[in-house]
Amino acid sequence: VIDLYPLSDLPHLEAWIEGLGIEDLRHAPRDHAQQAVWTGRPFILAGDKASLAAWFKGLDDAARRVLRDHAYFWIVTSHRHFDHELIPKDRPTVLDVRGGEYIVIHDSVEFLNRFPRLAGLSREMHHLREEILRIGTGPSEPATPVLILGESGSGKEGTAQSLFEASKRKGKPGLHSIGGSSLKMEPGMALSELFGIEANIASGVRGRSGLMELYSDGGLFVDDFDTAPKVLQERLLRITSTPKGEQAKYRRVGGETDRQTNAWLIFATNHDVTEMLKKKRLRPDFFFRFEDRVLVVPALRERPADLPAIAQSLWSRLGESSGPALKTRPLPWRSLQDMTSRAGLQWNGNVRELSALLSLVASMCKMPQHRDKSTTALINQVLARGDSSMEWLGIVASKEFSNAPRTSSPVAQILDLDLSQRSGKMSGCEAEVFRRVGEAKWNELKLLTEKLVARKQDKLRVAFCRYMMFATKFEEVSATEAMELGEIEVTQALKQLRWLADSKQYLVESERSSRSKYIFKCGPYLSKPRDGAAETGQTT
Amino acid sequence: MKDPIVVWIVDDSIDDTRAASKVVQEVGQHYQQQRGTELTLLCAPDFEWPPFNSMNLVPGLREPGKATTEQCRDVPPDIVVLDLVNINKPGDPLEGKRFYQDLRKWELSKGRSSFVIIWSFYSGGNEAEAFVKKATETDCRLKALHTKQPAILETCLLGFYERVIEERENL
Repeated sequence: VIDLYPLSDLPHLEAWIEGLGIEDLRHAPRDHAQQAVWTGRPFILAGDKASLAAWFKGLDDAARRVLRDHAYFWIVTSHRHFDHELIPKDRPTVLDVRGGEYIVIHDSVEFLNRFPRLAGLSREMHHLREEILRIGTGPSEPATPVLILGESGSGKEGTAQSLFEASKRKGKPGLHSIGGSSLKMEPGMALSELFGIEANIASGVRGRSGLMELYSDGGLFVDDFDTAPKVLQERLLRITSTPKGEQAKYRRVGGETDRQTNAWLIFATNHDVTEMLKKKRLRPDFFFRFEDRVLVVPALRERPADLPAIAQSLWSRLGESSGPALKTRPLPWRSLQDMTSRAGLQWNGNVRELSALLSLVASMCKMPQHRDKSTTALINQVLARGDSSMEWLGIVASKEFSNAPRTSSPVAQILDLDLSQRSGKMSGCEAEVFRRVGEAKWNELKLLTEKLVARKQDKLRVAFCRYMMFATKFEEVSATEAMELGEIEVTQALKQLRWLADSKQYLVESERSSRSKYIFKCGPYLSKPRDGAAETGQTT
Repeated sequence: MKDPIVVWIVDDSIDDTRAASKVVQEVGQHYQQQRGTELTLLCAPDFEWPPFNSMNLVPGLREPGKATTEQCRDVPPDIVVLDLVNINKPGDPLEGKRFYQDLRKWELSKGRSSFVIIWSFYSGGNEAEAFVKKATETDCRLKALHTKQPAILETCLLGFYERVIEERENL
């Protein structure tokens, strides 16, 4: 899908985009010029000189940052000499509508579509795709090992999958992933897992094939290979030492004859290879076996143009698995813009961290109490906790993440009641309290509060609610919970209310509780003793 | 020019309609100043479906003919503030439920779904509670307020307004 900027003097444009499945958005309302940058999709800017210049002028800093890193946008114009500092000089970007240059767009879009697992429109990802294609379809394939380097969560496994799918082995047994750390077991067991075991080498042992045999025509992706036991690393080194064109030889545990495998080994690590070599955690000869078959997946913070594309891709995947609550919610471009421009967000957890953020927001979107909140508001709510996933995760334990339906609390509803308009009617909350406490106790509460306040029925609600407020030390959440009255709580409430009705203490408490309204309006957090000011506000 | 945000208030009580329309107009004014989004507010004085013939543009809640039928028919609402109970029908008061069901059916043909705010007292009625519970579970664009307090309606409206604008900008 390509977004098009409005233009009238490009009669051949329809022919350009025909057959690419490109959505024509020229006539769609566009309030913000920069919106195309945040769709996470390739786009064409089609326009005359003046409209293009205006478009570039309308970009903010975050959008400019993304565009500098963007490898999949083109400008179609009749002014072939149009130039701007954000237009890359190393690839054909400004295309003449009158010529046959549309082939550039077709080629790029087709190239991009070859890697459905690799979301991202940055130059680095474009380069990675080119490298994958070179290695995957090169003459040295199969069986020559490949090394993938990249930070944790940057997408090494997706890269390995894309590499496998781009190769001639596509459709074969597949690519099996194993974690190096998952092989941290008794060496004999780990070896049998990889190479298989002969039958009857000990009593009760049944022979079975190892992964090398099972995936002989496929591939094995060994993630964090440096964490695997040394003995396994050495055996794998032997496999990778096989001369080109020959099949690797190995033996099953307890076996006496050599077996052959054509399994394609793809290794990955998130550690610094130079450091590992220095500290002798990696044998230099192991590293040298990879020759020119090393892929580097850059960190997310180094490729701003990928953030919108990856976020949109993750969001649509979440939508597919989350049902209608998320499908109707778009990922707002303003939030993507905010995430890109936020200095504190370092994305140390890379794509996995972005995925964690969006999963948290998606979970909140599904909760009925957040239906009346925009996705932007929910993202901001999570991001307000800090700039890292460690801080975001705290939201899971907080009240805003609760699964319980949380419409406005009964306490808040009662305290805010406009009583003059409501006389004679019982609110949903009152009816609920009435239902829970029963008629006898409700009447007793009524009588008791009538002693405390003027004989007006409406005041009962306020008095009772205020009572619940100071009984729970002005914590709205606790008071709300207390209003979900159980037998014991009601008995205690009545007991204390009786005491208050007969003592002067009520006047003091009543005075104090009237101030609780102020605390209320300022939000429930003020009532928590988080800082000196809140304490003072509560007790004075 | 941006399309106005269309809000319907469906309530048989004139006082409650006034209270709701005051809130809606305040929220609409806020968004007009902030984002330049216009508001079209239509009120239905009963639960008849289709409501187009009896709908009125606010102000003039009880004056017929202020909203043209075409205007209502062609533009499905973005937000519906819906009362559930018809106080004038003691035997079968849950008319809002039927209105809601008809609204959703009609919206299918229009290809878009409004945000529905249940603005009603319904405690004590088992059928109403069961309906609200089920609708809340199955319809992710519905929110029940459990009260007719204007402040709570305002909070809910502000949120749905944001969602409408967000959807318009991003979908």
